[in-house]
This record gives sequence, C-alpha cells and structure tokens, in this order.
Amino acid sequence: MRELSKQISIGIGIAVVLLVVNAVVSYGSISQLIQNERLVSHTHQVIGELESMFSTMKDAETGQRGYLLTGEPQYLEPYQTAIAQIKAKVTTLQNLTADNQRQQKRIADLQPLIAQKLAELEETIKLRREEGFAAAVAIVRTDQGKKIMDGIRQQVAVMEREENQLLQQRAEDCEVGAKNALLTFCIATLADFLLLGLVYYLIRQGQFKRVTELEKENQLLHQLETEKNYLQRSEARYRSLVIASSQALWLTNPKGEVVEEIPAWLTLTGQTQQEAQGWGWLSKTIEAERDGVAKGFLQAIANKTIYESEQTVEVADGTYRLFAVKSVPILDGNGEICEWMGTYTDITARKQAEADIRQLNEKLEQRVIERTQQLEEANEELEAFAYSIAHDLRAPLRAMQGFAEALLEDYSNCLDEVGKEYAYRIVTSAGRLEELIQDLLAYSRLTRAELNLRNTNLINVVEEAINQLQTDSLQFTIKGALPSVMAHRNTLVQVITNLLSNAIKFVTVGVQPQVTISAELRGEWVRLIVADNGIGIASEHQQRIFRVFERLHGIESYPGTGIGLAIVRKGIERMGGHVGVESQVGQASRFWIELKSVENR
Amino acid sequence: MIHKHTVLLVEDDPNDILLIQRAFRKANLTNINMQVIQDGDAAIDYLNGAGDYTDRDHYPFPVLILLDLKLPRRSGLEVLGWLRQQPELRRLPVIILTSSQENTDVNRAYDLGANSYLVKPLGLNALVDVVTTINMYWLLLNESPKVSTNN
Repeated sequence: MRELSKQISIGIGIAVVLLVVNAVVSYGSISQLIQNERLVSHTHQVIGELESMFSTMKDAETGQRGYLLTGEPQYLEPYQTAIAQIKAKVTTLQNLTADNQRQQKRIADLQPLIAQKLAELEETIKLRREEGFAAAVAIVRTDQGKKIMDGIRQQVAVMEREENQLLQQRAEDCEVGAKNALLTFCIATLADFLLLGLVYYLIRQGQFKRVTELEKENQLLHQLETEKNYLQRSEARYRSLVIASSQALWLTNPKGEVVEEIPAWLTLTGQTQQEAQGWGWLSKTIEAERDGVAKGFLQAIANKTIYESEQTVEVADGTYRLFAVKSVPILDGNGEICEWMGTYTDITARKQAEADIRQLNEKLEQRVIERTQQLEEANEELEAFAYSIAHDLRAPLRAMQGFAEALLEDYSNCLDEVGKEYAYRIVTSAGRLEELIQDLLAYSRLTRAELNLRNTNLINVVEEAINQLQTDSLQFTIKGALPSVMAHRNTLVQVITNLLSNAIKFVTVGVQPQVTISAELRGEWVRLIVADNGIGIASEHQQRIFRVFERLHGIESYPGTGIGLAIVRKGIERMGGHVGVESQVGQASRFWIELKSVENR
Repeated sequence: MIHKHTVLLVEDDPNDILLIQRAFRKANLTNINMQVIQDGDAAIDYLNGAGDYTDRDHYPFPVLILLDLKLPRRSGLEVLGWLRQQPELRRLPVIILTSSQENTDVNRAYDLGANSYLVKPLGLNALVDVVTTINMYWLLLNESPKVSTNN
C-alpha cells in the first residue's frame, strides 16, 4: 500500500515535471519564434527603409532633372522634400542595423556617396538657376552624377542582398524552431499522457487494493469484534463465577502489594483500603500462619507460579475463618507478572462438614468393626453350635439307638412284643433325629462354606445323583442334552439328589413314580427341569416349601425332615442361581433350577 | 500268655466306651487288649509312661490309638499334635474315631498326621463292622512301624 502510493506520487511528480519542462521548452520555442518573427520583420523594415532611402534619392534626382529641364522651381519640390528626409532615413537605417557591423560599415560607406550626390544635385541646380541650362547640362554630361548614383544603387543592392540573406536564414531558423517546438511539445504531451495513464492505472490498482484491504480490514474488525464479545462474555462469566464461588477477590501489583481498590476484600475483613495497602492485607491472616504465607507467596512471586494455600483469616466480625486462597499471576506478553489476582473462598463450613463426615465415618467404621466382630462372634457361636450338634447331640443319640438295639439283640427273650415295639420305636426315632441332624448340618455347612464355581458337566451330576438315591434308576428319564453349568460339583449333586428324591417321594400311593429331567437355555442361564407325576403343590404353598422345616404332609404319609428343598434353594442361591416350581394340587410338579451357562462366560 | 495287641481308646463318653467295647466283644476280637483313657492329659501320661501309667505290664505301649476329638482337658487334636512332635513316639498309628463330620475337623486331623478318620456310625451292627474292619486292616494287614519305647 505504501509502495503503491509512493509509485503514484512519483508518477504524478514526473508528470508535473514533464509538464513544467514542456511549458518551459514551449515557452522557449515560442519566444524564439516570436524573436525570429521580430527579426524577420526587422529585416523587412531594413529592406523597406533601404528602398525608401534609395527612392528618396531618386526623387531628389528626378526633381533636379525636372528643374534642369524646365527651370521651373515647382519641380524642385520633390527635391526639397527628399533633401529634408534623406538624413533622417539614413539615421533610421543606422539605428535599425545597429546590431550588424557589416551593414553599419556599408552605411558609413554610403553616407559620403549620398553627400556627393546631394552636392552634385545642389551644384547643378545652382548652375541652372545662375548660369542657365547649358552649364548645368555640361556638368550632367560629365556623368559624374550618374556614377555616384550607380555607386549608391550598388551599395544599396549589396545591403539589400545581405538583408535578404538574413531574411532567408531567419525564415529557415523560424521554420526549424517551429518544427522543434511542435515536436518537443508533442513528445512532452504524449509522455505526459502516458504518465497520466500510468498514474491512473496505479490509482485504480490502489483503489482495488484498498477495497480488498478494506474488506480484509472489515473482516478482521468483525473477527476482533467477535473475539472481543467472546472475551467480554468469558470475562463476565469468569467474574460471576469468581463472585459466586468465593468470598473475596484480591488484586496486587507484581510485588504482592495492594495498590488498587479491593472492595470485596475490605468488606470481608473490615480493613480500610489504607490498612490493606502494600502488604497490609497480610495482617488479617492469623499470626501463626503469617510467616508461612509470606514465604510461600514470595516464593510464588519469584517463580511466577500460582500460589495456593489454606489460611485462617480474621473477618469483619472479628472471628477467624478458614479460606482456600488461590493467587494467580497474570502475565504479560513477555512472561512478566503484571498483577496478582487472588480469590479467598470460605471453606470453614466445608472443612467442618469434612471433619464431621470424617468423624461419622470413623464412628461408622467403628460400628462396622463392632458389628463385624459381633457377627464373627455370632458366626463362631453358630459354628460352635453346629459342632456341638454334630458331636455332642449325636453322642447321646448314638447311645439311645445303640442301647435300644442292644436290648433287642441281647435281651429279646426277656421282652414281650410291646417291649420290643417300644425299643424299636426308640431305634427309629433316633434314626429320624440322626437324619434331621445330618440335614441341618448339611444346610448349615452350605450357608458357611465357600463355593468355588467351576465348569460342571450337568449329565454327570444328574447320573451321580441318581446313583446316590440307590433306587430304581428306570424311574428317571433324561430328555435331550444337558449342557454344562458353572457350579460347585458336590453342592450341585446334593441339590439334584434332594430334588430327585422329592420327585419320587411325593406320589399317590400305588403310583409308579416317573421323573423326567430336561434342560433348556434361557439366555445366559441353563434351566434344569425336574418334572414328576406326583401329587402337586397348591400355589399358596409354593414359596413356603423352600424354607427350613416347612412340611406340607404328616410324617406318617411322607417321611422327611423338611430341610431337603431348603438345601436346594440355599445351595442354588450360593451358586448364584434361582429355583422355582410350577405346579397345581393334584397335577404333576415341575421343579426347576437355573445356573449360569458355561458358554456365556 | 498269648501276645495281645494293645489298642488305646481315648474316649470320654461312657456310653460310647460301652458300645465300642461291646462291638469289640461282638466282633470276637480276642487278640486285642483294649486300654481306655478318658481325657487328653491322661492319654499323654499313658503314652509317656508317666503319672498313673508307669507300669508297662499293666499299661502296655499301644500299637494303635483310637482317638476321639472332643475330650476333657486336652482335645484329641492337641494329643495328636503333641504325639507327632515326640521323636520316639511320632510313628504310632492314630485313628480318629469321632462323631464330627465337619470338614475342618477332618482336614486338621490329617494335617496333624492322623492315619485315618472314622465317623462313629449309628447303630450297633454298623459299629461292629467298623471295629472288625479296623482290626482287619490296621492290626492284621498293616505293617506296623517301629516305635521305640524305652520305658
């Protein structure tokens, strides 16, 4: 842009210079022309004067001849006029040719000739008047007068020739000068036009550029405006955030000295601006922390890093509150600090809350520990109880059964039928109690034991369960494939054994039990279904039967401990599965268990 | 006097003692001299030949111990642990005969060096079967280790 306007200025400068030069040259040429013109007319004047002078001389001679012939004085009139004029004419000629030495000399040569002629004329006239015609004619006949006149004529002719030569030369000069002037003018004008054209082009170019640059400038301005708006918005957002989140904004110069007004700080602490001035703000920090704060802040000033701390600050009402303080150095373009901006956020409540939470947590943890301990104790007691059942309760049981059997074996001949019946009842009761204890122990073990789930072949488990029942295996039909499940093998064997023994137990008297075992995939689960042809279960009892000691039938019709299905449910739940039953009274039952499929792991 | 195998029964329940003695009788195991000790400390005295049991003629060193777990004073497992620490006695075969079926008891007994673990069965005939089998296996079939008994 600057380059262009420089070019334009130079163009215009050259054009103006050319114009001036043109004007000067033209003026010179025209002056020369005028001069030449003047000289030409001067020469014409000189020639005219020469002829006029010669003609005056001839007039004088004509007048003389007329008088000589006639003697009449009236003929002397032209002579008289010529005499009177001739001197002036010569002077005029002298003046006119003052610049020409040669002509001056010729005039000087001419002057004696004129004087001689005039003298001859005067003499002849005088003779005619005094001595008459003949005397005068005699003189005329000497041809003296004619010779003089010829000399004058010759001289005049020479002068005229000179002047004519001058005239010709000046005409030529004039023509050349005019041509030159015209040419110069044309060239200069043309150059000017060209230059003006160039300048015009440059200006147009400049205008175009200026338009483009203007557009760019506008764009830039728009961008700046947008950015400015964004910055303003951002700043406003930031400011409101700061105001919303902290109690006080605080500004210092690069050295950490308060110089500007910090009204929020003053409101917070009750300091006057004067008191806060310089490092005065520090006096509001509790004395014990003051040195540390000063040290930390000076360190931050030296490192130009953010200074973060927690400070106890005395606020306007004289109480001390805990603040989270964050001082940020605002850096200029050179990375020098231009000011420090600090925020004081009251965290007393938060700290209190944190402390409360910590305390609560500690209490809670303490309680958890206590509870855990209690639970562990309870668990230990339960284990001790189970152990005691396993060991101590069974000892007298064994004794009861053992001695009742000993009675029957060793003293059967001393007992009548009723006595034997009683002893026998002791034996069977002890057997039932033993069964109950075994089931309870199994249930209790299941509750406590850690079960590691492994890939378990369901068909093997079902076959093992059938074997354990030690009954007619033809009662069981396995339908379709049984996929593998994730299970604890021994527990699953126990669960399925219980299910199968249940299935064959609860049938109407005289009915041959028929149990169908099948499996189906339900998403990630494998459902094993045990379908019987038994007596069915009323829907209101279907949940109860999975609880411990729940029995739907008298011990006489269907013997059992009432723990079998509870073991089923507990075992399956411990392996992460589900149990259920679909049944109606008088209809067959479909018990099912669900365990995680192996495929989906 | 026919040489009899001495079996040490460590059992505190008098009913069980009676039933086991009856089972031995029923099984006709006349080759066995059974010594019954009713608590853990006494068992250790017996094995040491100390206290009331210095007389080895009356209280011969056993070839086999039937050890109950739940005992007054020292428990069966403590007696077993002690025994396996004794350089001279540690090879003596020990059969745990108890009513506990708890896995922890079974595992700990084996960990401490029990040679066998039997659960007291219910019913007379079952018990007779057990003692018959013990005799057959541990006293007749099994090759007994050398146990040095200075006293």
